[in-house]
Amino acid sequence: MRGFAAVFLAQLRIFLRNPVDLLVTAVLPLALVLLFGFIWGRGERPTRVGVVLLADGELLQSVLAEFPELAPQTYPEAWALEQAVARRAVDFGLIWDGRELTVLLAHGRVQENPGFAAWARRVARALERRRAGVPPPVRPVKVHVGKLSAATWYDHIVPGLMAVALLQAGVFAVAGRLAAMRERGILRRLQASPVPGWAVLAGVGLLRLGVGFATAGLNLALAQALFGTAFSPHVGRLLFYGLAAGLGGMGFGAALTALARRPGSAATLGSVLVQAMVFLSGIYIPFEFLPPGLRAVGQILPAYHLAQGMRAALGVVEPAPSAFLAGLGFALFGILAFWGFGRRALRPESRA
Amino acid sequence: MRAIGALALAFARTTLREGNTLFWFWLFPLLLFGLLGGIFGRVERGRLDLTVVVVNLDRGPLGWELLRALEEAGLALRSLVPPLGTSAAPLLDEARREVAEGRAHAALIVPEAFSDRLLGGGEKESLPVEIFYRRGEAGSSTAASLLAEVLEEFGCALLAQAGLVRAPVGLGVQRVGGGAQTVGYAEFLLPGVLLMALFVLGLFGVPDVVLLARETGVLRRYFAAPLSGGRYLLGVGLGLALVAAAQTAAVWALGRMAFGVRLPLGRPASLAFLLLAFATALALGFLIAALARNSANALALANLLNLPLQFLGGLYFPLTGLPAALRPLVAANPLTHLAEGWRMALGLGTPTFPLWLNLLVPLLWIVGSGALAAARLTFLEDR
Amino acid sequence: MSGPATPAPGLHSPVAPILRVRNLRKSYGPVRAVDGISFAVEAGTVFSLLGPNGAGKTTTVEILEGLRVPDAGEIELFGERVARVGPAQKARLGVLLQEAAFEPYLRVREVLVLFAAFYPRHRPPEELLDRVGLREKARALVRTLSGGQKRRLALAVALLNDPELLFLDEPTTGLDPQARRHTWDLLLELRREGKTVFLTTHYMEEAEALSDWVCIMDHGRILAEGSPRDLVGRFGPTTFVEFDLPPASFPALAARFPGQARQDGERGLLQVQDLARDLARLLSWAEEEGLALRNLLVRQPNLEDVFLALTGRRLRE
Repeated sequence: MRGFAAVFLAQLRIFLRNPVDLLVTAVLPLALVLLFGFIWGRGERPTRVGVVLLADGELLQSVLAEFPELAPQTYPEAWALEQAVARRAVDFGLIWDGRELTVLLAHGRVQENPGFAAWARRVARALERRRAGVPPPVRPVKVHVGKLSAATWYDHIVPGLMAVALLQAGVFAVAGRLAAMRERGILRRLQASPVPGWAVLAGVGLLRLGVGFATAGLNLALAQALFGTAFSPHVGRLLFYGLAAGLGGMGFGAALTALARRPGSAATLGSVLVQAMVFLSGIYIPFEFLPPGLRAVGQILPAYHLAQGMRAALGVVEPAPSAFLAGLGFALFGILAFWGFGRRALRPESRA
Repeated sequence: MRAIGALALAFARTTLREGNTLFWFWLFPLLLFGLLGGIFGRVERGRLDLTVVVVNLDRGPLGWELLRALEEAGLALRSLVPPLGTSAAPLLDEARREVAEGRAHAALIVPEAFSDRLLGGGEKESLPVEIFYRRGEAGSSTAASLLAEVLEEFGCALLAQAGLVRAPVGLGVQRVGGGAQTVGYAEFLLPGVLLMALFVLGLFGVPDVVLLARETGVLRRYFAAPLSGGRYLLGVGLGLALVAAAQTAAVWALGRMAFGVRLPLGRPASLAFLLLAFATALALGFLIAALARNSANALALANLLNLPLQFLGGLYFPLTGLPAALRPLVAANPLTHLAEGWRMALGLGTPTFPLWLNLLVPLLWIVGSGALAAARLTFLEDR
Repeated sequence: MSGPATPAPGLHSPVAPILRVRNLRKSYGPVRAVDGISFAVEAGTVFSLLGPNGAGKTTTVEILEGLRVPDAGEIELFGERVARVGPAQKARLGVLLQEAAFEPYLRVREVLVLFAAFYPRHRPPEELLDRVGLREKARALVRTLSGGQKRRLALAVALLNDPELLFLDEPTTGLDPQARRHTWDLLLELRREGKTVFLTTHYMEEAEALSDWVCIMDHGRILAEGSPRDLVGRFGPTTFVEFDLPPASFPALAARFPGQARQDGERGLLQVQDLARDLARLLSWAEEEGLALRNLLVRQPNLEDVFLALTGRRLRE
């Protein structure tokens, strides 16, 4: 036990002193939570529409008042509105001459323009109805049937990033730290001392798991404090999916280390593969946006299910049996692979 | 001159041989462009494979017509049909569960008297139609918005058929602040990906050739030959430029072949911004090398700087939704200005900042980083 | 013998030395790494700078290679006074640094081609690959080479420009005996070709076997210089007797042989003029003391003894 504590403490020191490790496992996930938070964490904001009223202005203004999601701003002439749209002082423009509605779209806003055009169509139809003096025949009523904690896309991102933080902590515990210790002969040197092999592996593994949990916890705290997310965390599930991500990550790292032939290449491979997996798992980009082929790949990747599990643990989605099973399987794989790595690395005749 | 060329060639070669540089300098830009272009190209064309559960309680013809309209809008429908003579309540529960548990993106409940109410006419009240969805989830909210839009349109078409709309409102579209061609996401993305590639090259490549080469002793050996620091820098600078040019060509070719992008990259104004971007990327690399002083710190610093630079530079996503607190960061970010200026030069939109600022901010970074690097960086620990 | 040495008279009095250094100084903060040294290297000879680790050898040689700027002093290289060694001189120098550092992702031949581009004149890379025995490794990446192969590549690079003066900084440190022997042969071959070789080493056998002229350096100063034979000859007709000696017995030995005995760890050392007489005295002393005089050795003085006599320390301490 003393050996374990000594290894743990030494690893903590090494971790805190190594800027690259600190960055990859702790700082980057936090930076992502902040960045995504600033971009998506404040919920929907009203769409700014610039209006030029050439005739029958009251009609358009009363129509626009129907839509609380639009924030209208009046411009005296078309030229000024064009400038405002081009310089993005408003999101899009409407010129109303009493008969025809012209929508002004900024050239470069390729992602948003379809949405703005849809708004213009709704306004045009509302204008027609107003003139006819009839109410809209049907009124869509959106009913949120998901979890109460889920309000924005950001609420889905945060648990995903927490899962990634733990996954990465696990992967780099083995593919980074332990692989480096083996390559530099430090593991052999430790074996030549009376400290038991399990104490070394557990010291490194538990420290990195702890770092993963600390990062994930900090992610959660930052999201709650800065962006007012309203998660309802379930401690048991958090622990389960956190452990599944961390342990599975360690197993994944062990597999990479077994495959890698050159010093350092396991860590490189790990960072590339983890990022690719994260990309395909709907953590940065909504899963539905991926093409069907990539979605099929994403669905068999553990990161997808771990993210779903984390979301369930924070009360953002309903807990799904598939996430639970995948988490359990990944954790078991992790324990087995890590055990195999330990046997190989600590075998007396193994060479550094 | 021979030494500079040989160094440039050697540098470009090694980037193709080392796993890290091969991935980040060569494959990553292509991969990112292909993936983002493919993904958001689909989103742009509205092909999202959204599944909607429909509970049609209507016994008249309009319910069926509505379903047809939904299918035409590209939604995959799954109908829950009530067995004859049973109550609708269990079906509504099932639809709710399907959506809540993520098996469908949204559900539409066509109410019992749908046809009767709409065909009857003369109602002063609109008929409410319920849509179940999951707030905050991208696919689900997109499906719900699409459902709502189809429903509204359906209602308006009915009004028109009934002859109630006397004066139809024409809708014209005018695009402002750009050239003649229409801009797709792939066109918008391409300069962004190229700028990302340039900055990765500068931020990670320069500390390598300055700090790592110094730490491994490679530089000492070079300088023991009649090679001056200036020529060494020119050589690796030219090497970086070679890699950058090849990257640009590869991304451009991918855009052309996979997404049909035709951008006038060779325009003088575009070339000027490309050069400015390259110089800025190099300068930032030197800034990192000067601040970090060893390659491990430089790697960390480059990673730390890279992320906000790219996300707050509007490379992939428009930045209009950003809170006011972050605007100064966006304004100080050289990538913002390079992206805006270059996109303007390519006819992809009007900059939100004045052109002189688009030029001045990157220039200030170049001068500032260059001065700091000149003051702090030495090639060998002692000359 | 300490202090600035003047060029030696006689055989080595150079008419026009290929390299001459006067009062060279270099400090790192308070540490005087090179503290006013002077020496001259004659063309076509092997010149050795011998000293323990940290003596200032590498700093000296790096100044002469143009990698460091001296604080003070004169350098006269190829008959020209220079403030510092610049590109014009570097073009005529060959350099083997202590560690063989090259871009790991270049191939062996590419490294030679790259360096060839730095020099105005160079030998064909193939010839050098043959010379150092790396021809079959020409297409191998540097990172796949063994330590010895990297050293050979470094040597090929050092010879690439057919240099007139070749700096070899600790060329055999860390090599196995066979590789060391190989390097020695190559050095002698280079001298036969008329090249001048400037060698730094902390192996006295190496300096003794290869050099025409040796400078012994310690703490940034030159303590003595001369041909190996001259340096050793300063002891006169002396013989050394070495044997195992418990340190406690040393005072007794010193009392019996005043001014002749030295202690070197667990060994006793006797410097004798008349071997027959002094050996007999030693044996009778040992019998009186009840000492066995294990591992007794009688030998001629070497550079190690010179260093020991000058500093009271051994070279490899």
